[in-house]
Amino acid sequence: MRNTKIVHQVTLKHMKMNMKRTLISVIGIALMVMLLTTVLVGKDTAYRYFVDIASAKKGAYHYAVYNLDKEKLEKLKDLDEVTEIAITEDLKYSDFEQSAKPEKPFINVRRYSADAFKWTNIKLVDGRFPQNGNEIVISEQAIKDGATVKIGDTISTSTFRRYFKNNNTSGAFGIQYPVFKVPAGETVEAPYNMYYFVPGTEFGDEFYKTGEEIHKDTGFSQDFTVVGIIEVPVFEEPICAWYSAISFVDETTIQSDTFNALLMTDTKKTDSQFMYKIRSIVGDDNYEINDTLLAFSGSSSMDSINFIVLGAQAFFVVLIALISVMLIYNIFALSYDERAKYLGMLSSVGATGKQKRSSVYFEAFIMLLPALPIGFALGLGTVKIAANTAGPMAEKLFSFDGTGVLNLKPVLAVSPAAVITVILLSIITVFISALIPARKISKVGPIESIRGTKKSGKSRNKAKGNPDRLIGRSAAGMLSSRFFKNDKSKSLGIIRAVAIFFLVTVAVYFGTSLVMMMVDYKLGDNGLSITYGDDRNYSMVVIDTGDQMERDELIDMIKNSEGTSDVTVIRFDSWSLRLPSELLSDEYWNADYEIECMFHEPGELSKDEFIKEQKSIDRGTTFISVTAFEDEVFDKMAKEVKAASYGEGEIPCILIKNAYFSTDQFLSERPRDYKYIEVKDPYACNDGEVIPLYSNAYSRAEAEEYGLEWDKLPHPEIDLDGAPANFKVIKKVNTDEISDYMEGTAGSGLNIIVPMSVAEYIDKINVQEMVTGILFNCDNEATVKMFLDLSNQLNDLGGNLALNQAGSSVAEFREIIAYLIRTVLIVFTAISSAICLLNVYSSISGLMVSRRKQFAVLKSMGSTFSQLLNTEIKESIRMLIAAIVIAFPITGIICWLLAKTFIGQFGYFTVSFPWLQSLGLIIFIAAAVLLMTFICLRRENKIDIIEEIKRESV
Amino acid sequence: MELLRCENISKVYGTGEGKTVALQDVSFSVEKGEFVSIVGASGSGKSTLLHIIGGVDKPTSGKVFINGTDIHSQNEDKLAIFRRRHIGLVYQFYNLLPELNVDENIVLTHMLDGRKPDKERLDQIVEYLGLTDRRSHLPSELSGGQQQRASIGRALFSKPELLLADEPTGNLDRKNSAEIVELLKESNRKFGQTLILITHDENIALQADRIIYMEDGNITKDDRIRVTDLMGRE
Repeated sequence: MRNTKIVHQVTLKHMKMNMKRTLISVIGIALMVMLLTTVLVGKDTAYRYFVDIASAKKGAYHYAVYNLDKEKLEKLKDLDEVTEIAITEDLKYSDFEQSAKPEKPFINVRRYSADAFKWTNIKLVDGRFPQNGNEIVISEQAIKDGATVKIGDTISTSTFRRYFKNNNTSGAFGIQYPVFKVPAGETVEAPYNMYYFVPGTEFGDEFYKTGEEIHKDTGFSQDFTVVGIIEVPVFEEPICAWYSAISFVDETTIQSDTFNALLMTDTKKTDSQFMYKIRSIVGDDNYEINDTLLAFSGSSSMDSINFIVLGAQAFFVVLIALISVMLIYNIFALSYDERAKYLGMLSSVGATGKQKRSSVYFEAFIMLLPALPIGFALGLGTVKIAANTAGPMAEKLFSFDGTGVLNLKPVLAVSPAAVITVILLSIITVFISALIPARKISKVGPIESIRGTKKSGKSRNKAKGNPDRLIGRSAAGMLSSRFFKNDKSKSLGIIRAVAIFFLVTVAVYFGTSLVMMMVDYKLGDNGLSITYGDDRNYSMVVIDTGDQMERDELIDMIKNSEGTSDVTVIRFDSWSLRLPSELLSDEYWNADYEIECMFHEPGELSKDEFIKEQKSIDRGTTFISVTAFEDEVFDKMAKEVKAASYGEGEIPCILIKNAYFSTDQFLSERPRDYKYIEVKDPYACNDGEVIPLYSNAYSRAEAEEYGLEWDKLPHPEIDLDGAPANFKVIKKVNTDEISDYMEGTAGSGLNIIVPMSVAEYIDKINVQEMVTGILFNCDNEATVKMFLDLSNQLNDLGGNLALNQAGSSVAEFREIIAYLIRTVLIVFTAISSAICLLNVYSSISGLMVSRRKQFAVLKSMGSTFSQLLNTEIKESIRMLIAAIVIAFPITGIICWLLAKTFIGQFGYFTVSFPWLQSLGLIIFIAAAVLLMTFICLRRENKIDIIEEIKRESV
Repeated sequence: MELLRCENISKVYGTGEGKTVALQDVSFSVEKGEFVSIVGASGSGKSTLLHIIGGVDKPTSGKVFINGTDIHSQNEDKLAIFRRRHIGLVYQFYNLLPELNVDENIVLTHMLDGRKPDKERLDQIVEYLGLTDRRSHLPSELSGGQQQRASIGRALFSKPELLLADEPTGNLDRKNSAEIVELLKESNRKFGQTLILITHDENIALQADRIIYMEDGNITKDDRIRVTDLMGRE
């Protein structure tokens, strides 16, 4: 026991004497703890924040199920995964006589069980929540709008459903938001957020000329006492024709035949099959998943998100541990000689191998003591700063659903599990790092230790003794070669440090690229967009100019107005033409099939049958979208991509070939998992070939086949009657090749580019003209106002056009996500690189310290500083080459595994090894190593030669 | 012909109360081809003097002339170059580079001067030192005597005019000591190299042409050996 105490005391003294190295070790360990804390607490904090936002935005429930009856409710209650159920009942609308706003003449009467109030974030402004079916709370919006209602009042309700009737004999009545269409002569139930046409207003009177709102009694009527005022619930949109009014319900007091429920589940039990269970009970369209909340609550049914997060977390933790083990191990290994001496002396006075081992563990423990709390505090600080910086952006990201900003502050989520994990991982990492040095040191005997005649690890290489080898070599070349080969333990330390630096940085960069790629894909991208002319500050999008003005007149007017410049015209339309499905490649159909499979049970869908069916849809054709540029612009683009030439009578087109299928393209359904499949070329035709493209107009034969009256159908100016127009494919391109004109991908949508003259032809063979975009700069406010008034007037006269100012919220949305993820990953890469650099520095510094005597001897023999530097630079280059040779294949394998895991999880997309970045990194590492070598050698050059020479052995 | 002249060499370590005077106004000169032993108790300043002569340490005051060159007036690089061309150093603890084998250690100084080692000379030296079967061995694989021979070989290879040996036998047994001294003497005689040797061993010291006694940083006695002694030695 006393011996051990002495060993520890000597160890402490040794640490004090080598304060600089001890400090580097403590900093390294603290950085490791900081990174572990950042990863673990950061994830918990982010998850909690996202859960808070998701709960606030949508509700704290996991699933919402609709149109239940009591039998279905019982079945839901029987599911193992379901832990709690709250009931909600929508009793529809009732007249609200107290309303002060003509456009909000109703209340929407709902009844909630106690949990439903809580889970849907219904918050009281005044009074209390209803406790029985006779009490009700009212939205504060009603009070704000001047409704004559207060707590204690009685509201009489008699509820009805809202229907809209179109009395026109032809022409549908329709609005774009909320999406609602009533065909001629029909009556359709209004969506919940349908607004109210106020009679006596221009808007209302116009509607009531041909339409009417009909109320159908639900049979429910009751008087309620107002007991509270609530904040405006998220579902009460400003355009709604009603205010919210919510009463109390429980299972025994349900009035309606059908009602709704909110489910809470045990997220550990729910898997991807759970939604099928729900679907089988409530039907395909009667459920909704609170995706965001579930994803961040650790639901195993959210495989994709959880896989990314847990995978990334595990990847980072392993990486941190690996880097740290290397750093700490290197430091222990480098101080081997010194340690061996004092431990050898202790050994000579009776210290056992176990006691020597314990000295290394003791040193590790002492370094961990300050590093653990410092690192943890730094980690918490990093998470706090990151949360405060990124939090508002994250919330903005979620606020794109239009429900407004909540101003929620991120709260540090420090779970005991995270704290324990950080402590345990830190202890394990530090002790693993000390394990090998401790074992080595315990095996060295006292004399060997003191005299330094036995080195750690394998015995040294014997230098080959051919004197001829010396001829023609420089001293620096010989020394660097011998130092490199015969001082392996030191060289290996640097090689390891450099290799780890390279590996970690490239792997993190590659992983980051994969995550970024995934984010880009998961966000559904921006689709295909036109970049040509996007520097103009205004655009006039014209679907129809109406009867009073021709399109060319409008273009001329814009060109000739005061303050306009750079006017350019583009034409575009979705699905203007149709391509025979047989002309699509197998790659396209296979990708389509694989994505469709994600919406079916494995093995459920036959590939042959699916592709055959898909090919037969739409008269055996697939729709293709068209973009047209002015003829000279098209010709310039064709020249840039080295397109084939085309003759006078030929119709040229450029096909855009980059495409993809992903499960996100089918928004209405939920796939088993996320999958993305890149399609490199959807076309089974080549450059220079002529392909048939069909117009959208029905031929006489098709009209007969579909039972349509030919005479009553609209006809194009040039009626091809089912015959195709022959287009010459002058080039198939990726949008990357034409980035000055277009960018992005239209997913599985097919696209061609044609010159403006061809667009005119397409207008003539189709029933409907293509959309026109007039892009221009304008610095005259009066002209802009005039254009705005003109577009309004033309719209009033049956036109359909809009004036837009430059700017896109979608781009902003993507930028925020990209910014958030990049920030997190850059910070991680920077810190891990810092640890690696620290490791490299500590290794080089250690090497130089261990060479003190050699340098002193060399100097005494007449070596100049530049010769020493030359020697060390040559040795560093050897070590760099060795490190890169070792690290490159390992890095390649790790990147390959990462890519394979990602592709296996998310689908097929092209990923390439970051060669250029790796080369840049090698140059950076080389520069860093050489600079560190120079700095450390200069420091060693100042050491007293005499002191070193006097030492007994080198 | 004078090879070395030391003029009023003083060396003081530290300042104030911690001040230690290692050398005090030491002056002497050595003729070319002379074999000089410096003897004295531990702390007498003999090693400090040798290091100052060898240009690896600087005097606090005074000058050292080798072949008429004031060596300490040169900058560090020039002094290093001077050292490798004109001085050979042999240390008590050999100070061979552990990463180099015997051959490489021997030719190192020569190579540091940018010169290609002469294979024949290397063979000669290795044979002369009795290390023929140890040429490819690393220092850790050699005995103390063999290590010291290699270090002498390194000092001799470039044919320096001045050979400085700091207690070269201090770490060796009697047999090895005798062999090492014999080697140094032979190089002194055979190659005409001037040899300054520090030793505690009076028997070794007596083999020199001249013995300088040092005490507390001063030369207390500078004895030229009598011819009879010399004859007696032979």
